[in-house]
Amino acid sequence: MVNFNKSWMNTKNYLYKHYGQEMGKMILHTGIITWTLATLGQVTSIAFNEKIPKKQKQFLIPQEIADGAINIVAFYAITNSMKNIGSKLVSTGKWSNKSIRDFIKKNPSKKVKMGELSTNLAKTYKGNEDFYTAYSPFNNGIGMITTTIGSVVSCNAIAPFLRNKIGSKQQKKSIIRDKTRTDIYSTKTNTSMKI
Amino acid sequence: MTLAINSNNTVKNATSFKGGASKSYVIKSEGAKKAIESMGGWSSPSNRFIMGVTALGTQPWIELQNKDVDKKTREMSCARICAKIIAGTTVGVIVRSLSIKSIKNFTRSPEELKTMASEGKKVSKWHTALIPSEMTPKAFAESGRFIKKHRSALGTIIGVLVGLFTNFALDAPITNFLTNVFVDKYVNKNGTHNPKNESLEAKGGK
Repeated sequence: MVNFNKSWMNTKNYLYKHYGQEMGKMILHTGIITWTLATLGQVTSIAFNEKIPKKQKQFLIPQEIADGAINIVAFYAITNSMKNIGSKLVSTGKWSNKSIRDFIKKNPSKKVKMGELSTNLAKTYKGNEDFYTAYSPFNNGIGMITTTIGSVVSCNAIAPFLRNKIGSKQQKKSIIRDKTRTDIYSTKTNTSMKI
Repeated sequence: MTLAINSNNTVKNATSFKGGASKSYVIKSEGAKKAIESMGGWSSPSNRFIMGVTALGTQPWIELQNKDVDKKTREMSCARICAKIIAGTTVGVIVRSLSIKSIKNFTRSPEELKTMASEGKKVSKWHTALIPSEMTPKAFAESGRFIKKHRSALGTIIGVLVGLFTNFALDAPITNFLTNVFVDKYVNKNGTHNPKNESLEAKGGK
């Protein structure tokens, strides 16, 4: 039998542990869910909008579907990558601020070689509240900046360009298909009239 | 802390700050440090707003430059994209902000509960219903930054769940409405563009 209290407690703890302290990660994951829902809503609205002609619908619907799919892929490929690069730069000490430097000077460690890939400041000073005071705000800030830049590049530059290419191709295919059907219909009509 | 010196006259346990290929960069400016740290405190409504503003600055232009389709399709696509960005950003920011604010009521810190009790307000178990057991009293004591982030995370996740409803009930209809407004005002300015005529043309003009 499922223990709901325990499941609820585990869910709250999971959200706190994985998303409460990392806004960039939360925005990334919720962004994917949001894009999927938004695409479904928009495709439905285009399909039922009587003021949009069929020819434009043949471009807008594939464009919208492509937009959703490309945004989800680009979010992971670009936004997530940029976020990870930012995190790595901070955790290795490649980027730091005066507070972090001062803390490390007061609490030196053999494992810490600032700027080296082998360095992991968060792991080395895990559990040290003074470290988190210096490190967390800077790490979160860099995470937010890299996530935002990645989102802007993927959603507002790359995705629109690619979705238009896909939408245009689909529209041309639809126009050719409609024309072929019209020609076949006309031929059949003319043939039956002659008979 | 005193650092031991070994037989090679190098300092034991010394942290290496030297560079070369692994040179590190330190942000020394206090203003820059504060700016970066304040961005870490941005919530998802702020992020959504920034995305909307940057989208309005780039996407309509990209639509109008799409030479793979005819002029009417470009203009209609541009009108729809503008409508979608305005509707999506407005609804997104409002829903996320309201979600985060309402979450605050279910994630009260010990200090807030004490304040409520001293003000004579009723304190129930619901006021801490969404507090995780891992959030220690020490975490609460540390300037409230943990609880703030947790609230923001929960608010955004609930915003996504609410989005299940708003995408179909608000986003899509508002986008449709604004699209029709922009199309009537800018695309159909000559009054010759009639969706019914285009449908008839597609069927052979009958």
